[in-house]
Amino acid sequence: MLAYLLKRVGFILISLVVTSIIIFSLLEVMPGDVAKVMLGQHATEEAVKSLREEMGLNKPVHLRYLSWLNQILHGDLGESMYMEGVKIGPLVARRAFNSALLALACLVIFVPLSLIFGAIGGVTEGTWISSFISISGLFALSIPSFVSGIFLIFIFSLVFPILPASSNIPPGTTIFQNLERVILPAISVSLIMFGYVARMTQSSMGSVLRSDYIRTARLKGIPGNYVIYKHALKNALLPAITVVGMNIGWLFGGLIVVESLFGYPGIGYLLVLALRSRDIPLVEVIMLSIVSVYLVANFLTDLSYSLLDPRVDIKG
Amino acid sequence: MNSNRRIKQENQPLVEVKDLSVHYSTLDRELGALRNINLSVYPQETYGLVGESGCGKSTLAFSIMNYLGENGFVAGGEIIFSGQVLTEKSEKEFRAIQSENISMVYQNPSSALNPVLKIGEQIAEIKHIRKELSREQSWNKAVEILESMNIPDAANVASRYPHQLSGGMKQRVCIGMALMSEPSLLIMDEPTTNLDVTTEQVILDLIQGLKEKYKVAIVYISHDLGVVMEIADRIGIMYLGKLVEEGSKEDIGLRPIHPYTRGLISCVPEIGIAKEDTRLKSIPGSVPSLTEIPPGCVFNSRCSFSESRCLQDEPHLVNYENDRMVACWKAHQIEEKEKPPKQDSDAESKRKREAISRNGKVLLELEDLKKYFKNGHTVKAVDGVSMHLLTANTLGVVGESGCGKTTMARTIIGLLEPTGGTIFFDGIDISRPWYKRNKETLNRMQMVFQDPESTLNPAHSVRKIVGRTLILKEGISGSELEKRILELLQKVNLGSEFMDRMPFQMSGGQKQRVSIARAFAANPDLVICDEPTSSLDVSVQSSVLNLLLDLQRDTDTSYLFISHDLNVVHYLSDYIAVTYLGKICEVGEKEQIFQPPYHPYTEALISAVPVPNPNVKQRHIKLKGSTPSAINPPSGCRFHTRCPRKLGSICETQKPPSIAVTESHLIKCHIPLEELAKVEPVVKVG
Amino acid sequence: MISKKTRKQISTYFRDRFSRKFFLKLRRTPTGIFGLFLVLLWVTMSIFGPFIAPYSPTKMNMAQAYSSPSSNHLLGTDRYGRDMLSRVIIGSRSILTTALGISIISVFIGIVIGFTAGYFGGIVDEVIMRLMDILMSIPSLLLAMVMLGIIVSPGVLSVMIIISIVYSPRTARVARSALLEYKSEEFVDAARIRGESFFHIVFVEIFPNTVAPLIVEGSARFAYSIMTVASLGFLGVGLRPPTPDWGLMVAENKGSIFLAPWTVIFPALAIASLVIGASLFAEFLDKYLRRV
Repeated sequence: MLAYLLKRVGFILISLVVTSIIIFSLLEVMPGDVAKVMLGQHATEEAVKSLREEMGLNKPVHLRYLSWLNQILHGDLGESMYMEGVKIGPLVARRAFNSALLALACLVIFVPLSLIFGAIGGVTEGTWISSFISISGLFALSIPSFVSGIFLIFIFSLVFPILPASSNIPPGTTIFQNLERVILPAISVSLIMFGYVARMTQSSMGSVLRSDYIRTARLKGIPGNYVIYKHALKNALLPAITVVGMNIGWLFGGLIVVESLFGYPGIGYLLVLALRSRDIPLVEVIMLSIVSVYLVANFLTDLSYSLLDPRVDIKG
Repeated sequence: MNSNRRIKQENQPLVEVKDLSVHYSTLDRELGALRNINLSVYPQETYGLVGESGCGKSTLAFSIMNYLGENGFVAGGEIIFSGQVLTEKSEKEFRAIQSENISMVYQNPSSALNPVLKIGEQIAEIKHIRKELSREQSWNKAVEILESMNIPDAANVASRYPHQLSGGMKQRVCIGMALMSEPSLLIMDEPTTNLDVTTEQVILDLIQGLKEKYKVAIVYISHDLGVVMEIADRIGIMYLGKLVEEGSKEDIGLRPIHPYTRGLISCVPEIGIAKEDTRLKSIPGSVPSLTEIPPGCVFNSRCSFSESRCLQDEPHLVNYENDRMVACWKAHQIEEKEKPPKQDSDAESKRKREAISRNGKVLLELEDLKKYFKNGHTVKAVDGVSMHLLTANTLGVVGESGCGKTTMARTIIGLLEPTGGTIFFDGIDISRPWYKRNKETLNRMQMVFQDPESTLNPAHSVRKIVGRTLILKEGISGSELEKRILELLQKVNLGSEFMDRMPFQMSGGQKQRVSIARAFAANPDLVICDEPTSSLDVSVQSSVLNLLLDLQRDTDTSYLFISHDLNVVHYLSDYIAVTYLGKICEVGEKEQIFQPPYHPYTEALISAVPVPNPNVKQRHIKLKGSTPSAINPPSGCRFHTRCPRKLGSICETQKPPSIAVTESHLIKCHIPLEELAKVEPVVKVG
Repeated sequence: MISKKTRKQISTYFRDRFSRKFFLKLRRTPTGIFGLFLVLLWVTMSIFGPFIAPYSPTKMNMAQAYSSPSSNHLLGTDRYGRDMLSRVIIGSRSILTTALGISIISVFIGIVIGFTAGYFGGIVDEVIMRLMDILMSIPSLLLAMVMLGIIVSPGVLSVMIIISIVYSPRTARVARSALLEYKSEEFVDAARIRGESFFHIVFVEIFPNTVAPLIVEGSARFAYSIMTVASLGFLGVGLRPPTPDWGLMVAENKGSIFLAPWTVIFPALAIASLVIGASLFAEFLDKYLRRV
């Protein structure tokens, strides 16, 4: 068990280091830099050069990387280059919190819903109910998050104007005082995950119900409900955990586009802005945060799967 | 012979199948899986149901259990249980009656058990879900049942999960689970087919014991007539959805009447008969599919007795004599015919063989061959094997799962690299993997594999499969290539229409023939056969074995024949080596192996082989436990943990010496030769 | 590299599989038909686009800005007076070409990487798959976004290549598992003991059997590519204006969704219909090729 944990943690750390190198190098190769962006298109070459000197952008890349790495390891996440004086740490933390709300809505509300839908679809295999669930699941997972966002805005802000189309939080209020602004983004972000999980659960439940051990249970005289709840459900839901883990990547992608669409003050939107302004330290920190959350989430999914399935033996 | 008559007069049948027809509806048509089946099973009797793949025996079982799936349905007839007509009842009622009175044990115990529930719970729930017992009481009863299944440490086993148990243990759990509801009828569908012979023996003994204790009627389904003979009182033979013969086990075993039954029995090599004595019988052709059921008698296309009436009218199951039922127009004529005389032994080749056996050149020699797999722990699959094989000779290697015979074969042919020891082929050291051997050696040694579904490339035609070797070896092409491929196909009794067939268009037996053609295309001196007939139906097996023998006679090829089936090995081989857990425990000429002195494992193996002849008396030797893992093999003599003749601590500490009974017969055992020689033969005929 | 005979073998293989049986099965699957129909509809539009589109997609006409759908402009106009119908029709060309290119290139890269890892096993496999895992630890949209950000004005080819690279760990995994499925089959052993070369074993023995799962993966990649390309266009890192990129159109006009919903809804519907069609057909292919 210990060996397994160490191996995983080691992998996460290595991935983070490699990722940070990849991102640093990519940003290095990008045309334009923050100094240019700040001074605007018409700035003189000299002005740009001196600003760059001031910001330390002229030092060789590996030195900059190492000094940045050193800084991070000491706990200092640095300051934004573009927005002078803004500390990255608290900024990213605030925005990450908002994004976490959306992700949480997805995992805590929509995933259980999709498990239920999927299970129903699996149990009713062959009827129109299961075909309906299967097809709507396919629709949900195919449509890009921002497109579903557009459709949702169309229906719920235009045709039936009950929900706001923008998630701009008025200054002076918290997000919790503006929960109606969270609803549409939360749904848009969750639909893809919903579709995947519902369909996977449906097919998994369907194949479990056709398995030999369910046949054994039925022929032992176990009544229908018990067969589903005691014998089938756990077996059917295990693969769903894997699917959730696999799709967390899409969830992050969804956060980026949906936040951009609604103007939601989350980490995805912040990343888009940071990239536009070539704000290297900010981009780095955001990317690494996202990647580490992704890796930890994957790790937790694998861990929960191995704890729940008696056939998997971590200790061995 | 009249025992079953007595029972019949006293009781009413427990379950009666009357004129039952069961159909499956597929996309385009309806398949008649069972047609007009009539049979009855009486209380406490054991009825054996025998047939090959596709005959409908499982369909019959599932009809009685009311589990035909979405597209199966009863198209006619009735199933009557204890006077109640089940087929007329509602789903719910049928299920209620069935679950109270009839239980089933399935072919694959691993898939029959729920992987996420504890063993004890899966047994106990039968009682506490129906509120017959409390949870605690049901659990205790479950543990009790596990104990009566001879499962050691039953309380512990009950709190484990299925994947933690061995195959034999799982099946015992399933049997216990089936008996938990105290049924009056137990249906067992090929319960021991996936198990080792010695494990099978243990389970068969267990079932025999259960009959007394639980007073339950059993329907035992199997394709193996020998197993069924051991356990059943009456036997029914099925073919392509029909019951063709029924009778007591003596009737069926000693005086079979229906041509199919006769064929089935004669296909299996008789004990004591070897290749020099006679050719194996086989049933020509193959089982038609359910979409092409012939008019008239269902067996007519393969029957040597068929005449015009057989092609038009379907014979019904009639009472031939004394409750013996046969469905054949020519039943009386067949009985009058004597048993076909033994074919004149091929005296010429017998002499030739003897000459070669005694003075042949050594073709293959293994010196202390070792193959270990390292993956965290070390699995010692082959741990010091030494033996040799002469030209134009067959060496049979026999052993159960885990003995390392397949690993040995794969190491010899070069698919695995030896960990230690040497392999000599025609004097040359070839102890290397295939990519380090020279082409010539590769061509001189070939292999026929086990699984016909896996042995041919599904994307290649027969022409490509067989031709490739010829192209590689001789560089021929065009019409010359065409001719040679046809020749090879002819040798394996396949016509030219097979040239462009794809694997999915061929039956298992046909695929295996193609793989034999492929192996012989390179004109090898040695062909390793790794269980080539284990996945085939009995009636097809014998034709493939005959083919192998014919090819050997024509080309003087040597065979290293690997199998778990002692009968087949005895029939085919000149010499036999018995393996256990990576080592050879006995090697010698085939007749020597089958008579005392035996190695205790050989003795147990021979005793466990099912023989479809009621006149043959077999001693049953039960081995304790199961084969230990090869990761930590027992010290001293590997077999000591299960040996019924264990001497004492010497077996645990010291490796057994090699006793030379004769120059060609070696036994590795601590027991002195004089004692081993005094042992009674395991099998007696007559 | 591949002999004529093998090529013939592969084409016969395809002919057998995609023969009458294929169309029979298709006819029985309404979702498959619908999916294929949607995809073919857009393919036709993209091929004949320049001839069908009533106006030039980039021609501005400020006088007609934000006009609602009418007989002149069936789908209305955007804020520069450009005809929406023409923009949507022409927009299909870039997204379809890109998606097709991505599905082919990413599967090809996947085969090279996945087959190498799968066939050689051992340390080669470990190293390659670990690298792939690290690459996959960055969510794909994120990585594509950052990689595309390097290029000032990406063309169709750069978008294709970059997204293919981002997808390659996933296609490599599929190719590898397809190879592994057959690697331990007995007919491969038979090829080995004949002394066949590496090339023969991988390309003549194993590869023809992996074509089915690779096609399924390719069709799935096609559907994913449409999603990704549209999303990247929306984020402004794909093709630059004035190219009629559907995602870009949504982004440009989202501010006017209340004022002129047609400028946003129609490109959104175009994206949704194409990707649903591709997904439905990919699912049908998956079910069909699994049986055969």
